[in-house]
Amino acid sequence: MLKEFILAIIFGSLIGFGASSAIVTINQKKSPVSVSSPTSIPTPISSTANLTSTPTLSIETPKNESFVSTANITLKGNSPGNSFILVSTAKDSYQATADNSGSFSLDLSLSLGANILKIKSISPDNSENNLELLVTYSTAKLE
Amino acid sequence: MITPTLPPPSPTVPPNSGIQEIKQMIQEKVREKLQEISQGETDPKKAIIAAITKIEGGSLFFNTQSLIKEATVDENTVYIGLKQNKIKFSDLKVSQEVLVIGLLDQDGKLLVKRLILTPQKSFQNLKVIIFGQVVDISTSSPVLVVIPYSDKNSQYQIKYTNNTTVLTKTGKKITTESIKKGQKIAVVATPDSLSRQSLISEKIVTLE
Repeated sequence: MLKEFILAIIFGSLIGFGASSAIVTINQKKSPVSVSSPTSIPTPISSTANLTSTPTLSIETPKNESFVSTANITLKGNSPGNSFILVSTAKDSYQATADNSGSFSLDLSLSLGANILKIKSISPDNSENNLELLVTYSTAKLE
Repeated sequence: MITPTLPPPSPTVPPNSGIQEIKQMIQEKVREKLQEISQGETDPKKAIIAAITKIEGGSLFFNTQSLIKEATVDENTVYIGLKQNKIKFSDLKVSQEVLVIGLLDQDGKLLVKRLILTPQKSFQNLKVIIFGQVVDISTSSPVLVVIPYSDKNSQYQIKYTNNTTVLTKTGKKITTESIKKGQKIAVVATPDSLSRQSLISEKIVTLE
């Protein structure tokens, strides 16, 4: 009776150790998945082909991927103070100089359909920034 | 009589709960990001360029650099073909390049108002903007040699023609003869099909 009892304890301990080490091993294998940063979602930069932007040049209006119903629009933005800004559309190009605070605005004309605006600035110390915007001009009513 | 005291019930945790939580967090972040786009702007009108990757029921899925990857259509959606002709939803095919115009809802989904088949090359802007210093001016041909500030190890041959506009920083028209060696300039140009390092200038602006 005592012999059977001891054997049962030894057998049970062996099964217990085996099961617990198997669980630990599985959890260790799983851990790289669980520690991967859940909040690190890649932030897409913008739309349209190869659209890139740098933090020191920003456009308030028009927004990227915006839809406008007039060909003539005003582009407003911010850049390092006193930067020179060039904007090119497929059919024309425009220039502006930012004020001391970096604000600038310029009027430009869009072609019917999708327009890719290339915007590039250079600061007085020759550092450059650039970005691209997609602005679609159509007279079609959307509502 | 002895009543056994039972431990408080503990929630059963399925083995994959950690992964599920991460999935949910990612989904929430994506939804928040899309809501930021749709709510951060007062105008819900949006237009994106994309290639169709999947057509499923009344939904279209896109390959695009835009955050908007999915759109729905309804009975009012207008479809325009390559020859500006009206087409039907059933004419759409996977891999077609389209300009999609619609209204963005709170969940970041686009309700398509107009879908226009548009090859992306039809509205490409191939122009190049360069800021740099004039290091040489050819005496035999209408060419400036410019080293860009962005890459001082390279240089461009900037051709100018009768169509090239030359301006000062303030927008005053000047002639190409006003451009001097060592001057800081801005150039808007198109690639020269004959030479990789050459550009044909549309506009030259002297910056000093």
